[in-house]
Amino acid sequence: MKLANDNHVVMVDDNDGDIVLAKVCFDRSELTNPWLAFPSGEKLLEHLAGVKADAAPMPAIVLLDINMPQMSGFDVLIEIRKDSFFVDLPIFCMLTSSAAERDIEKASKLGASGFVTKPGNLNDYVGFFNSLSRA
Amino acid sequence: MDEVLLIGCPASFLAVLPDDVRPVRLDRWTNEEAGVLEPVLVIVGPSVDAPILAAQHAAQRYEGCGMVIAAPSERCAEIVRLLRVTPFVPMGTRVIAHDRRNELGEGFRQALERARLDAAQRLRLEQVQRALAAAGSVHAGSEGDGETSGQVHGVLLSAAEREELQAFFRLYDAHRREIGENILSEGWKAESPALAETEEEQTRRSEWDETCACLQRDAVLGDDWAPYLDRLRAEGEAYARRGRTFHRWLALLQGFRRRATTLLMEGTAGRGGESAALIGGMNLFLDLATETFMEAYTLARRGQYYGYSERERLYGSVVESSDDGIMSMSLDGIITGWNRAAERMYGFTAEQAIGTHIDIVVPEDRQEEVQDLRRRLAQGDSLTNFETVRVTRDGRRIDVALTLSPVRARSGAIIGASAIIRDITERNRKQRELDRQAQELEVARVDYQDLFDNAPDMYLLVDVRTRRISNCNETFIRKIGYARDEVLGRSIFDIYHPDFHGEIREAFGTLGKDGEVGNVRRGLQCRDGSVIPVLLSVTAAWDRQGEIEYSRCSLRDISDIVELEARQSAILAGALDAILTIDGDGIIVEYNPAAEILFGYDRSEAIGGSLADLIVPPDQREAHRNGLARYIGTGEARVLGRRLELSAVRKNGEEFPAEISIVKLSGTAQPLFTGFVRDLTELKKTQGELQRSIAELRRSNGDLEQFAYAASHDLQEPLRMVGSYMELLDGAYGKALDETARTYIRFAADGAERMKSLVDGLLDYSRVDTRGDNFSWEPCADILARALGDVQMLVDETGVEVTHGELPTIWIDPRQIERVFLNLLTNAIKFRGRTNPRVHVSADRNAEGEWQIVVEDNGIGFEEKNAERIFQMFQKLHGRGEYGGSGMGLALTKKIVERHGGRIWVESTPGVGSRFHFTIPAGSAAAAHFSRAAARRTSGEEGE
Repeated sequence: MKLANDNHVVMVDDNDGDIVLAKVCFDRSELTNPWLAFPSGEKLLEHLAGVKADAAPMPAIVLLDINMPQMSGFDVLIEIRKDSFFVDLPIFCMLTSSAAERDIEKASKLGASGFVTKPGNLNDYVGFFNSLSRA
Repeated sequence: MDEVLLIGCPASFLAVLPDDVRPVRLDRWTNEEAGVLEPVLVIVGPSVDAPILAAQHAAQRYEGCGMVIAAPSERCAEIVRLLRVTPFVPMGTRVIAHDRRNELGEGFRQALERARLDAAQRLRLEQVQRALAAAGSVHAGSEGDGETSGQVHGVLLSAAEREELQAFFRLYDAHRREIGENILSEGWKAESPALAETEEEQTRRSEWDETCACLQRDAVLGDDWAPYLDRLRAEGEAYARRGRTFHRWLALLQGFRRRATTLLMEGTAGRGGESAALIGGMNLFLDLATETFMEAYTLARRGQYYGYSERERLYGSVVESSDDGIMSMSLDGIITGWNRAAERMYGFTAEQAIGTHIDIVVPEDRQEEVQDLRRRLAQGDSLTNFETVRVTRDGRRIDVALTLSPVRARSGAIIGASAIIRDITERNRKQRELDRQAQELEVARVDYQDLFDNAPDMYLLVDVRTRRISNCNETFIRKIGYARDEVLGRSIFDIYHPDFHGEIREAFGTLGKDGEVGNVRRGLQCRDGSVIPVLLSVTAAWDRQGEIEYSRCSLRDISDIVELEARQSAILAGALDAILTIDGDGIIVEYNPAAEILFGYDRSEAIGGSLADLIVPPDQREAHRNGLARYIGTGEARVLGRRLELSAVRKNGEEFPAEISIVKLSGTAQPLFTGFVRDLTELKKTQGELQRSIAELRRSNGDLEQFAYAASHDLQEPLRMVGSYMELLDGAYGKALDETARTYIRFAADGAERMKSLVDGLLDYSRVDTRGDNFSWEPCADILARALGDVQMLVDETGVEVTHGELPTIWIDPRQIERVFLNLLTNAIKFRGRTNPRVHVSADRNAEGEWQIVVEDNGIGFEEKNAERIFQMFQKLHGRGEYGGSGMGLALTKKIVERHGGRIWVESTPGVGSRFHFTIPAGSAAAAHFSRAAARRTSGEEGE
């Protein structure tokens, strides 16, 4: 998977720790895109509404945590894919553990572009971001 | 000139008379007119009303005259018949048909002439000779004449001819004697006795004649007379057969004699005695010839005409009316006599038979026999009741009994044979029928005897008064073991076991009352002491006074049945299920001890009771009765042969669930159904408990798994946070912290790491059953190779030598078994020994037919007492410092093996090594296990 453009890499996670960790690793990676993070799906949808209204550019990729309160990642995915405007937007689901096959299956059906298990150590995390640029 | 008197004749008759007679015509007979005449022939014409009466008058008046009755043809037969019974009609009377409208033909003329000449010959030798010569010529001229008018219908010829012949022979004899006396030599003449009148002298003279005849015969013909005489006899018979008179033949003979005499006399003139001998011999031969011819002729005639005399007429009527066939024949087999019975028997009329050869009634295959018979008859033998076969005109063969006697001429010579024939076809047929019936009876008797003796059942006849055995069959002898003479006369109490003696005494009473005793059981006491169970049936045989004369007993050996019954009743008695048998009306006829316990009714209460009323719950009785009635009526079975769960009711009214199967008994006269009933109360209770337990277990198991999954899943997140931020902290601020702080950070990171490892292990463990792949057939060696690939770096690093033997293809979840190998290999490498570490994998079939796979190492091993503990979760034998690991690996391995239906255990010796064994079901067991597993998955059940 290659990033669609040089626009934002957007991360959605209710856990600040995850976002901080991801930002550290993102900064250490080869990616040079701007970073954007939202604490909930609702905030992402607001941002995307702005994208559609041409107030912001189309993100290069959305990294979406599945396990969130209120709107889960699946709910967010459904909302985004309802609008054909975002049909080509790459959305990666961030999974807590590699064991969540059922989650993968579900997300795939709902239109996820890819999946990633949140890496357990920093090097793996950096490697994940690098793979986005190299792929 | 001879006179011929014509009475009532038409003028046309005159035309046929010869010129040398003087005809006198009268319209009817009158004594005045007839009295002056001396006619040689009287012709009674067709206009005379009573021709026989007229002929009678004429015959009385003119003794020795010839007589002709010319009558309308339709009356001829009657006239002939009447003449035969009329006295005073002259011999030789002819009856000639004359119809007025017809011209008189040559036949008529001849007949008249013959009659006249016949009469005339009585008067003068010359006249006779002339007449004969004329008759011969006349006859010669009439051969083949087809006229009907003038046909000679009947003549009292035989007697007349006989008389005539006698006269002729007398004359001829005199003539011959005259020749002999004149011609024979003086010497013979001198010795010739004078004509004598005394009887003695007559005898001597005939002896002399015989002597002379011999000499003369020898002189002329030697001994070769017989063939000539045979020919003459045949000729005489032929003449008679063809209805010709002998006159012509005699005339020919006479002519020959005259010419021969003349020739001989001329030829031997002057030779005296020789000439005389020749002529005498010639004459003697001719005499013999004449005698032979005439004898044959008259014998043949006798067959055609009725007798010469009253006596013969009487014989004739006896012969004709006889029921036996009577026939006569000549020695050469020509039939000369044939009565009515013979006609009936053979189908040939006398007319057809007489004159033909006897062969017409002799079948081909009896020809020789007949020739032999004729030979014996010719020798004078008689045969009585000689049984043979003859054939009838229509070709049917009949059996006959013949009584044969030779027929002798007056001279004593055998000239033919008579036969009395009795048709014994019917008698033979009856005899054969009797023989056949006798044979059938014999066959039937033998059959009955055989049936009696060798029937499968034993038969006895018992004298009811003495109660002793009077007869028995062989089957009985064989079974009881006594010899026949030991059995006969034996008291029947000797042959039954004493237990039955009372019943037997009673049975005699029953027999006297009912006449039979049917199908009762007895024990037959055999000679060797054994007792055969028998089924006895008795019927009484009554005498005329209504008393029982004897009884017939049949005993059937029912050992087999008794044994079968014993076996079946043992089954019935011992069965744990209640067993009941009902008839077509639903009435209980059999009821076993288990049923007594189950339903609460004892046997005596149940037998004869209605199944519906006793054990069917009230609300189902109607349905039960309808079902039974439907089956009896239509054969439609809804419950037969199936396992049913129904409710039944006990005597105390308690209803209980029951398992019932019903079979219809085969081979019984009335429909019988046997039901097997099992009380399901306990089973139902147990089943209910079991199902509740299973559900409970399943639920708690599911909860546990859900918990393990959720726990491990949700634990991941904070662990990762701890781990990651420890790492970040160490990386970003490590240099700013002192050694102690970094050590603390390291401990925290370690803890997080181990925690993560434990959680991963727990997660894996919880997912063995729920996240498994499908089973497939996999070569074990491939799976091992994949596992080895995962630890290749470790193997290379540690220098462990991994080998394996021949490994099977097994039915497994490949990823899970790869995990098993991986865990065991990792384990073996981790706890390897210090020198030449080796791991060897092998497989073999065990006693249960499973594949038993062994992973053995020469590592550090452990105490045997820990062999169970190492498969438990989080159990570790070693401190964290020595060997790493979560303590989940072997627990997971165990769970995978168990999921495959196998077992896992370990043998180990510290310092020597460990052998891990695990089994995988092979073949059908594997498939069965898989199908159970698949069923669990399909039903959505999780967990074991």
